[in-house]
Amino acid sequence: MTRPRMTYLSETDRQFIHEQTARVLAEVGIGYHTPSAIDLLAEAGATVDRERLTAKLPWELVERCLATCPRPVRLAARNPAHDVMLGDETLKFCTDGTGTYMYDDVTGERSEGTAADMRDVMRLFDALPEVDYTWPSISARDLDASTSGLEIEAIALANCTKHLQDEVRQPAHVRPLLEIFQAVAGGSLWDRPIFSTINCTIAPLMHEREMTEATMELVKAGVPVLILPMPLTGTTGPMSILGSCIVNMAELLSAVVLFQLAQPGCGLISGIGAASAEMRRGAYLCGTPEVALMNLICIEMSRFYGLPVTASAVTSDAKATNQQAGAEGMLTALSGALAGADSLLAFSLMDGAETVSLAKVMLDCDIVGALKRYLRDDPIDEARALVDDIVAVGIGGHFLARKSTRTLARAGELWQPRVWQREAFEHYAGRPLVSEAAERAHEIIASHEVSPLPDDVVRHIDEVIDAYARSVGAPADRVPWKDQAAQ
Amino acid sequence: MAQARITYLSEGEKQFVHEQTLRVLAEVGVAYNTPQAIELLAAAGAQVDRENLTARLGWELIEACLKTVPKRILLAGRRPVNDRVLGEWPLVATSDGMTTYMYDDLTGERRPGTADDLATLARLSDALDEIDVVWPSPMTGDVDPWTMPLVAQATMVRNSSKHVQDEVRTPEMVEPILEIYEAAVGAPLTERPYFSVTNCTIAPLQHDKEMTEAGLKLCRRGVPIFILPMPQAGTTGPMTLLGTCIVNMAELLSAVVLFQLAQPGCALISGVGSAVAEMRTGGYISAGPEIGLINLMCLEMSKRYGLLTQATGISSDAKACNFQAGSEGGMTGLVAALAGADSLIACGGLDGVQNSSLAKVILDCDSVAAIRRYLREDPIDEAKALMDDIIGVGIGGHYLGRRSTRTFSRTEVWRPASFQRGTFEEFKEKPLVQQAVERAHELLATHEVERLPDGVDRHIDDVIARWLAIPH
Repeated sequence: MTRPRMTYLSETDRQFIHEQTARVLAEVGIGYHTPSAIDLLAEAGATVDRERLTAKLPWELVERCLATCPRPVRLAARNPAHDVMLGDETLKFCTDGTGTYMYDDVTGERSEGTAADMRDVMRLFDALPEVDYTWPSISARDLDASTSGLEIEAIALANCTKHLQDEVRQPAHVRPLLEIFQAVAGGSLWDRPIFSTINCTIAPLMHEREMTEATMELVKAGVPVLILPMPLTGTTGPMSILGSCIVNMAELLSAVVLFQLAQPGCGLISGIGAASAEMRRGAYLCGTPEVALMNLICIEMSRFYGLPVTASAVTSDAKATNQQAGAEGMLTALSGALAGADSLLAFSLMDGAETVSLAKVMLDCDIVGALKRYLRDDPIDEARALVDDIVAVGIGGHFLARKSTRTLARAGELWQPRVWQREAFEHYAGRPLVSEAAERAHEIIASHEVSPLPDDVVRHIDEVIDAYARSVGAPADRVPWKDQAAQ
Repeated sequence: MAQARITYLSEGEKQFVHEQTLRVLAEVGVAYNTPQAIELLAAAGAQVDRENLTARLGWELIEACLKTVPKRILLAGRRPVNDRVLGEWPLVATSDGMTTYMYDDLTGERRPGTADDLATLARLSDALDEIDVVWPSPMTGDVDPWTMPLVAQATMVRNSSKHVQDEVRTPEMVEPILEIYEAAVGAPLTERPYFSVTNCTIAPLQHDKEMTEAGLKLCRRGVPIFILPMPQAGTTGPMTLLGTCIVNMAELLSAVVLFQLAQPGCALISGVGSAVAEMRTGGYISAGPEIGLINLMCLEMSKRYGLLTQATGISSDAKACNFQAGSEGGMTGLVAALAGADSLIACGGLDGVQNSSLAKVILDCDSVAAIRRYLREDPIDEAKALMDDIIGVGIGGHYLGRRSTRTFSRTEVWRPASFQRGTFEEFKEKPLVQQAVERAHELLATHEVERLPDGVDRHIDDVIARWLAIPH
């Protein structure tokens, strides 16, 4: 069996990056910005500065913490049929997030995302077999800011039965969220981790106090963590791909140490958020060849450390679902897939992760389908060579009548796209690809039925959210998380 | 130095593909369909069938012929600044051809190509740095078929000073075409090969009589040959990618043998034209994961034989410059480049190479440039790690004030010519395709192709006039 494999770094190159990363951790250290983290690190032997809340990490400590990281990491789902094992050497695809705007693929206009948009998007994700697990891709900007941290997760869980991964930004959200997740999972998250959290570090070399404290609590409840450093080449990272990768890896390892000390054996996933800056404005760029190269280096280094890895992948800076979006998305996706990522972020986002397009969700599915076909393990043997057919057909003639043609065509030798247009030019007159993709998305949203949460679970979620809303003084007439039309 | 590369076949698997290819050449053989070829092969010891014009080829003969194929091939431009040496140049990119239609990116309509369209696309390719070699496209539907091949070549040399690659379909065309190119470049093509010829084999396992006879003449006159087998999995190739690759490689090696016997040491390039069929309609699918895999296998096998390669690159079956066009082209282009192709057929084709589009030429150039950036060899060392800066900036802060930021921003980060990277609002009224079309028209309005030397224009007109005077 064979499949394409990519290599970039030599053993010596990997050792060099490892040594430089270890040097940064030991010589410069990390700003953890939270006393509870500093206490854990001091106790484990790190050199800490309690005033500045920083720590320098010796390699021996990092190595010890890496040794307790599990591989693979289980990401359970509301529907157990959608459970995912990350790091089992098969490539998974997660939805990307989190966009601020919803794009109208037909008019070219965009508007701020709403709870209704989020419900549609999550239901679409539930319906698509290409989606293995999910980020809530669109912000629900009409929700009240004081409670949206809980309501977003409730909307996601009610409208999609796949594993959910998202940020938890405030420690105060941890307890109510755990109650919601446990109610949906029907028990402890140690048994069924239906939620994993995203922990973004702050480049260069810092952790955010509130998110870090929240994550430290979550790992103790069995919640896996996607660690997502995001140095930006030229602004918050140095002006080289290699240097930005070293900052990415140093931040990643600093989080590995902290969370393994907080909860030895907790599930950790290496995320790669390193990106390019548009140097005239400092804007975030995610669809560039440099991002593909940073993914490549960081995937190889994450595998070197034995961590499951999620790469930013089918991403784009394009302003519409156009040729640029396709070209950029395929470059970053193919690079991440060939480099051996365990999962790739895909589906929906463009404009530097600001804007969600339903057409792009559908078209990204074809990128995912093409990637899976490309990366499939295929035998190189007599049965596949069909030399007997070649000899029998001989010079001239054709293979249409061969039994192998019929059999293998049905067996999936050739991939069939979901939306891409492959028939005659005239067949698609008046049917632009984007319109067709958007229509397909709307059809699915209209017809797909998500298995509803049990009534008692919904009541429990309501109670948890209402109690939290009262505690923070949220308005009673705020936009509800539940779809009122469906009540 | 680090450079991204992919591998697919193990050594054992390459040996398997090699042995199966030899089995096909020895047991089935190849139809050359021309007595000229059969005489050469018989003299070299191949087992020939003079009645059916076929030959069976043994490894000894193939191996001897592979040894005389050059490892570097000059594709000369009309001017030396446009010379490209396959085997030395990092990654050569061509414009795509040969399409039938010209697509209007703004209306979505298409119409048969004309001589004016051919001139337009040749000039646009001449203006774009990303394109090294031009293929004529679209075909000139408005020109009398008898003179069309000569008019096409005349149009190419008048509208581009880059190397031209094209088919020559009949042996009678060889002399006038050579006369046009030698006049334009001012030297015999043995010295300045300003033109290379595409030789398409006919799957399964055949050569076209007229094109082959033309190829035999051309290789003796210093014209490099781009050998392009095109079996289609499921119709003219077996229904597996592996089987189709074996047919591709058998046809390739059969052409290598023939042309090396005709002119030992002649320049030959392995092309990968294998594709898959859309099984409901039998249509030609030029892009997608299967094309990426066939390219990958054939490139690895061609390299095993020591041949320089030109792969299907930024191709697409999309009907417009849309998301599908970007994705499909991105996959086939990147895969071929990662597999080490020496050249990519790249810019401008849509709808399974049926349609040419100005916007696609422009946008494909950004894909080519992005792939080149991605494949650039970069050092993994202290200087590139910027360790002093990482330590100097420390925890928090930013790198905007570092000298290295200013210095490296010019070389580390690629800047696209057309892809849109500013704010959403900045491009709200400027759809990508429209902007690409505008850029094409701006280039066409301002770019000046170096004029042919005095007298050459008249010489070319004279060649065409003499051809027209031949009773036909």
